[in-house]
Amino acid sequence: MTDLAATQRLLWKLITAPEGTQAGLEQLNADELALYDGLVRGDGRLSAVERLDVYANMYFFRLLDCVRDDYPTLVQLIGDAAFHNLITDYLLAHPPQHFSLRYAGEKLCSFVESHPVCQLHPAAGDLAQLEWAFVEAFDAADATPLDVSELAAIAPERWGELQFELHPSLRLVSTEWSVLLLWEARQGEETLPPAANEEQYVRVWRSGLRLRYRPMNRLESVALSAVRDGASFAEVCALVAEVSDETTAAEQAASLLAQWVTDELVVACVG
Amino acid sequence: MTGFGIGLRKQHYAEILDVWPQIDWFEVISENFLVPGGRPLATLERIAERYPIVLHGVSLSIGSADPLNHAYLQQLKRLAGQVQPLWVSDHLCWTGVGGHNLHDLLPLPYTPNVVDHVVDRLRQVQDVLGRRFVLENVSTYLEFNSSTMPEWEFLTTIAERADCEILLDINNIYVSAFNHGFDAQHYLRNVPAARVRQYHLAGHSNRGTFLHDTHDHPVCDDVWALYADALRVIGPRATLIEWDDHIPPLADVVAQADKARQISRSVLQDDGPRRDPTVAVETDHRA
Repeated sequence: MTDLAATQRLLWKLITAPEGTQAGLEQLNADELALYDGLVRGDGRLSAVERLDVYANMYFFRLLDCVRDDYPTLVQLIGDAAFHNLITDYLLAHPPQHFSLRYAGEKLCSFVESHPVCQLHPAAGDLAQLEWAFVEAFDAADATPLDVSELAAIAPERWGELQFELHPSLRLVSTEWSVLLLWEARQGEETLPPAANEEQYVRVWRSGLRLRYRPMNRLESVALSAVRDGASFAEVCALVAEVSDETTAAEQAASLLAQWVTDELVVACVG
Repeated sequence: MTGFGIGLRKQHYAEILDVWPQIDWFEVISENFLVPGGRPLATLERIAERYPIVLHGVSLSIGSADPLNHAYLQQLKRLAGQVQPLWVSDHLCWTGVGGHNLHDLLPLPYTPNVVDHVVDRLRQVQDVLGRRFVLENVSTYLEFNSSTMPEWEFLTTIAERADCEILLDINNIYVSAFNHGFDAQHYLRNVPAARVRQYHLAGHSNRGTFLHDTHDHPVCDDVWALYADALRVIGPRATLIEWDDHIPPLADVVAQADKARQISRSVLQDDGPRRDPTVAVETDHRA
């Protein structure tokens, strides 16, 4: 199927050309131009180029709409025109590869960081990171939360070695800009406030089918990251002691754990 | 199965779970549910307890020069195992190449070589899924000069040789007939009736120089008329209303399905009962 492959690769190139089919044609090499010659039937109503442009427009606008749905606060922050240009550049750098549109915007949060739009809107990358966390948590795998009685039944001497499995939907977002306020403003259909250049830690997860989020202080963020990465309860206590007060470290770690269990973040414990 | 269904769309989830509308079945976009968990799958599970489900995919890319995506097929098979659909369908098209996805249903050159290619892949798909596949004609905006046969012959040859069934999209026939200047009636008369499992109906937009399959309008009068012709020529089949953009309230989509039901009833009363040749074909003959 070499003919079919060459034809499809050529059409892919033309349909994804950022400035339309005609501009795309001007970028083709001699072999591609020879293949293009007479490939598509044009008529008095629509030329071959215009017919390809139908597909080119559908490609861009379908993806623009899809990614816009994933990043509505980012759209509000930078504006429609800047978002349009951002997605034009994004699709050139990261043309979709996954079979599902669900993943089309997956790399935008890292792409924004290095895009010129961040010069005008330095919080844009952080905001995109937060919005993508909600997208991921929405349809992450289901899991049954740990019942607090299971923890209460664990003998005190086993606690040091305990490790905790967290809900698959949990996303930990740490940002340099306080973007949660922007996200909350959009939820309330309000004008976005300016983001402050302050570190922020947010956890996003699901209880059952309900999306939830909660800002964290640095201590909780460090501890929860460690638990996610497999730290035992004793190791978490040691981390808490480093960040906070050594004398109350175990107490603070236990209090954090109790909150995580209440929030249905913990789904199992082993050890 | 000749009932009347609508596409399941997230905008209607809450209302469906609340009012449980009078509809014979739902068609779902398979890819929307090929996710690890959360609300989409939980909702589908509840709806599948009350209604028959049809899985309709957009990513099989049966005509691509790339290898079949077996990871996708395995996920689709798993989903089919979960919801036990009446049947599984996708489009006669390609959606990407070189590992890239255009997220669109692109036309193929209608040549014997491409027929061979698609037939070979369809057989693999049917083997993996363990069921007869249902293949839909797409709306197209371009044709290849290398094509050696009309679209209906391309579709029919593939369906016969791969032993698959056909989802005949009446709106797509209408749109493509306008865009390429062929006779929609001739198309209907040259599709093997016994292989037609389902009809699709949808709205399109008139762009002046071409018709655009936008799924954002009610079905237009010409497409209703062509549907009535299909009922006479091919016979009654499971019929679905597709509405994917500017999605109206659930009741409006259900009303379109009711209209299809009325047209079907009226055509069949006028012309007398007609045997449904698909009744004898088991949906899941390989399972």
